[in-house]
Amino acid sequence: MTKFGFDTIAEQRHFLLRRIHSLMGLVFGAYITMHLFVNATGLWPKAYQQNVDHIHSLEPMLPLIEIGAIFVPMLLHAIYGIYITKAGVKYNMMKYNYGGNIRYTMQRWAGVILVLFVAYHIATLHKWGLALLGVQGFPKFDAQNMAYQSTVRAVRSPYRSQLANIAVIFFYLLGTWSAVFHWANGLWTAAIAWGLTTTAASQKRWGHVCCGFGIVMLVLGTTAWAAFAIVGNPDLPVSQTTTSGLGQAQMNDVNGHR
Amino acid sequence: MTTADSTKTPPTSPLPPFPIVLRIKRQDRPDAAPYWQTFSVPYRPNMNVTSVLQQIQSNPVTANGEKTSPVNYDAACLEEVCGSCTMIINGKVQQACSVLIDPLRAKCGNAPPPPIIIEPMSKFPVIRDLIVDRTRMFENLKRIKGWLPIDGYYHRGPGPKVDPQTQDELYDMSRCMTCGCCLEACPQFTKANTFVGAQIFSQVKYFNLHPTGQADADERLEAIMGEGGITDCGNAQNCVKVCPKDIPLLDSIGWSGRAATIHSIKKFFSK
Amino acid sequence: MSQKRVIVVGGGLAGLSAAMKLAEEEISVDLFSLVPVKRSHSVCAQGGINACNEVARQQGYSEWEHFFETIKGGDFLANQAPVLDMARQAPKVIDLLDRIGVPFNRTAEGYLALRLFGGSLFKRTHFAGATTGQQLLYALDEQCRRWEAEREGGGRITKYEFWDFLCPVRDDHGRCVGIVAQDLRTMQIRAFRGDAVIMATGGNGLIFGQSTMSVICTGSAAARCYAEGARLGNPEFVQVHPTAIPGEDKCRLMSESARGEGGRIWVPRTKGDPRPANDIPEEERDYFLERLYPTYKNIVPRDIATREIFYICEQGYGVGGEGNGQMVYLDLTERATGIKYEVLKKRLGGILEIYEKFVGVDPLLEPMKIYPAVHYSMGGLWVDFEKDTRPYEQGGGGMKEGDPKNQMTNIPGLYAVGEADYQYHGANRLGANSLLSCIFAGLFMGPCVKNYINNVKEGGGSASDVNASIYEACVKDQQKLMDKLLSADGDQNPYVIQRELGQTMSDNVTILRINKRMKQTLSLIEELKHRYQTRLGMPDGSHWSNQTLSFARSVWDMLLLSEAITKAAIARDESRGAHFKIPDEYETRSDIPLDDRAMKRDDANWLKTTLATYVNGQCELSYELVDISLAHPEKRDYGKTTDHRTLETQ
Repeated sequence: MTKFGFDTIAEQRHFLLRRIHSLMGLVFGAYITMHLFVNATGLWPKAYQQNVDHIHSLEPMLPLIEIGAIFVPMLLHAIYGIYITKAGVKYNMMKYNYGGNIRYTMQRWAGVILVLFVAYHIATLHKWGLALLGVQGFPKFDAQNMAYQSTVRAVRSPYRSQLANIAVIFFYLLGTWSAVFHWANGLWTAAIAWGLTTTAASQKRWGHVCCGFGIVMLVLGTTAWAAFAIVGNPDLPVSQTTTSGLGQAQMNDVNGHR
Repeated sequence: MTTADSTKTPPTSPLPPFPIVLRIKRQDRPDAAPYWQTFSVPYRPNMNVTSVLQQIQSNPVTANGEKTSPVNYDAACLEEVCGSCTMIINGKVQQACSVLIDPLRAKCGNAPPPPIIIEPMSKFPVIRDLIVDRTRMFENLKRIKGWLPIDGYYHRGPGPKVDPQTQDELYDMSRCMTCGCCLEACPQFTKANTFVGAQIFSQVKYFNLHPTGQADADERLEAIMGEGGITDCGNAQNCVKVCPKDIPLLDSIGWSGRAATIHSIKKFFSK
Repeated sequence: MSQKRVIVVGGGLAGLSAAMKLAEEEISVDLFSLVPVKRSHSVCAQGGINACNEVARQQGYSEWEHFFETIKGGDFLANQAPVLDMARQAPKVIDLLDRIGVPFNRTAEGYLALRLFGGSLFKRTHFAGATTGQQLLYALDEQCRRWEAEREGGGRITKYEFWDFLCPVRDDHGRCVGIVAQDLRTMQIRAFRGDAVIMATGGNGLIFGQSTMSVICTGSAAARCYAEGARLGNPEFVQVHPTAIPGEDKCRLMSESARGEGGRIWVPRTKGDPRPANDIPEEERDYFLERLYPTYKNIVPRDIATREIFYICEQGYGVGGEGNGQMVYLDLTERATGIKYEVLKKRLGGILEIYEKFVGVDPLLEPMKIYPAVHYSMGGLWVDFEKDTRPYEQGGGGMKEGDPKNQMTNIPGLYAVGEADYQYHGANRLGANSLLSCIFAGLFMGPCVKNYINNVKEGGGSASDVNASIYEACVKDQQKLMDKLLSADGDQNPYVIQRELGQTMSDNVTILRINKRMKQTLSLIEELKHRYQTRLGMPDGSHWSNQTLSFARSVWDMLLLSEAITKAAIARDESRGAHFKIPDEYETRSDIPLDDRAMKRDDANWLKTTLATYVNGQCELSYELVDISLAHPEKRDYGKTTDHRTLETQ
């Protein structure tokens, strides 16, 4: 009989990993909340630019914050998460199609989709991603004055093929919704995992709260998506977004990439 | 006493006398390949799956008229308190004794009812036919010290007083018959991993809530804090849906999470 | 000298309590069970466990009262010394169960809650919802698991689950030195040495076809000891529980606690009344138990309730048929009991669930339809006891503590306990006494068995010194029997033989007994035995996990037991406890009131224990006197009114 114990580091590692995974999810979720808030302001290009400027005013601390509060939590959560989805589990949503089981299964699908989506998202819209991949000719995110236009371009029409662009648009919607679901549902399960909600009744109540939160996130996320992917105008004059007065030269620069 | 007469009272609503058709997944030995056999049993009112299996025992002939061996299955109490006859019936894990035939047929109206599909539990090794080896559940009870550590059996007066609310809570958990439904339905519980599942979380809570269980409470808790323990619960919550005894398993899981959190913090700072 | 070991066969309440007590006494135990012990039949017990308690004591109850109720409940057929001890120790048993964590229902203040039960006017039944047996079994199972797992005890209990007991092994001196058993998975047959063997193998309900017992209750293990020379005591006494739900596969028990908590039994005053129960007004209902037994009302002992239900149905008032209904109403609705829905839900949840699940009706909203079903074997392996000769007032009168004779069968070293023995319930068991008798005797016998194995002189004293050839011979015999069964190619399916047996036994050898019919039954048993021996067919020749083989083997045992039961029932020409005998000439005279038709209790001739011994393939009956040193038999009518008015004239 193998004894279950909790005295050695090896025995505690598993617990620690799981709880770190959960914690990192919460940290990354907090970032996502902010990210969707900011991007929802994409409906108002100038406001959006202001928000981006606000974030970039954190330089030179920004990379540190990005690494510590976003990238590390995200990577830890994603890598261990992928491991969890495969750790000897057996999905049975079709046999036992209860709400909880459907959410459980969707949580994992959403997680996998998110890994792919976020990888693409960073690769194409983050300066490190582009630098890392060295992609030529891809619309670059331009934080200064052109945050809105460059984002629209990256989301809506990055490729020459119209089909590919439509695919990207839908990929963004799928990714956004996956993020919203994964985050809201993760908030619900985290409360059980950490022992905040200890009864079926409290889990249900907290479930309603998470559901409400999820709906807010869904509205924000979908708004953000629509702002860039549907109503977004890549050719909006910089004068309408600029906050620091840079002009046509930069505009040309952006156009030159097409 | 003419017991036989009273069991054969005519049904209140006339149901078409279609025979009961069972499709059973059989397996001769643990290492043999499974195969399917179909049986057709004359309908009688008020039957359950167990009584159909009993009919097959006394006349082990398939629907095609081929002689075969009686289907082997575990059974004991036949009133859903022993947990023996757990199997997968029409895709869902349940006790054969409490699956009644009439309600299944009532849904079909006058059409011939579809065959009832019966399989052994899939998360435990098959011994033969519908018999599986659930030793893992009992072994896990040992690992969590599933007992109250009393001094001995000589008389020492009554046990500690328990308030009725706590008794209520304890009683609900104490009805677990180790049938394995919660584990069969749990996507996290598989032959390939060491996950202990809802059954065990509930038992840890059960013993830890009892005043006498306090002595071993930390050990019990730590037993579910490692790999295969409470952190591996994915909250699919099928367990509570399929539990035939309506044990508040979600409460036990939530309790385990909280206890583990508090215990880990305590351990980090004070040991 | 090597370490002594004790074999316990059966993992229900009796087996587990014996095992854990022996383990505490530093004796290693090998525990054999057909099923994981947690699935033993004890799990089905519902109502509760009796013991004198402080509240009842202050109301005038005492251990003596408990003792006397039990003796009287058993129609004075039980030996009194063991029963006295059981009643005396009962409060301590409850304390122990409380300590090992049985979630007994509690009062608001946290004390153990109590309920009424049959045969007593005092609340003296402790309970855990309506699944008391399950809760007790689990708590004992947990203690045994502890002995099995913890290093401190040196793994003092070793479990052999899914093993079938095949026969006891006896040495040249005739004492039992082990068993032969079969692994029900690998079908391996092997012998186990044991310095003593305890049979805790329960009852034999399957003999009667549908009963409230689990399908594993074949009585085979006891029968296999009987076939090897162990005597049976009072085999003819079989309890028919008044309230069960009929079923195709088995009868499901509706606990006596339903009545203890206020449930009322009634039939419509009009024969074959077609109205649904709830539509029948109060004045058109006959609460016949309350009418006939104004003191005890619905909580008369089981034999009494069963007999009255039988009679009212015989007169044509039964429900569930027009003029021949076999069922009566057991009413738990608020209208009949005056008790709120939620209150009963909490106290009886377990059994209400069973009714709802299997019948599809909420019994708190609609009266249940119930009928009597075979429930408990009062008879069983005969066991001995050594009397404590001190006077009652000085603590004597019971069994001598620690004496090796207590609970021992007539085979030295072979013990029996629980429903498998015959000792505590006489001709009729009182409700909530079975759990007590199992646990009390299991615990009590620990020191007795210990003293036996430590004082054996013959044959070197230890089973480990017994010549291996004795064991090998037994294994070989069993192997031969298995091979013979596996190659049986006749046309008689063992399940069919058992069904036929069950039909005749339940038709003719239960509550009402008529010699003419039982003699026919006896010849049918003879015929079934013949068919078994000459025409048995084995539909499964597998050497792996072959249930049909095990069942076929047990069919023979059931036939042997049926023979003993029927023979003893024919011989006992009186009505006592669970059974009443009707002379052949009154067979069809249902016009005569039952009490006038039935034979009376005959203490002059029949206040004695039936002993059934298997000699040369035959059941031989002999008798021994009952120990009545403490209480004299008295009239047993529970204050029945002599009112024989027919229902119509009321």
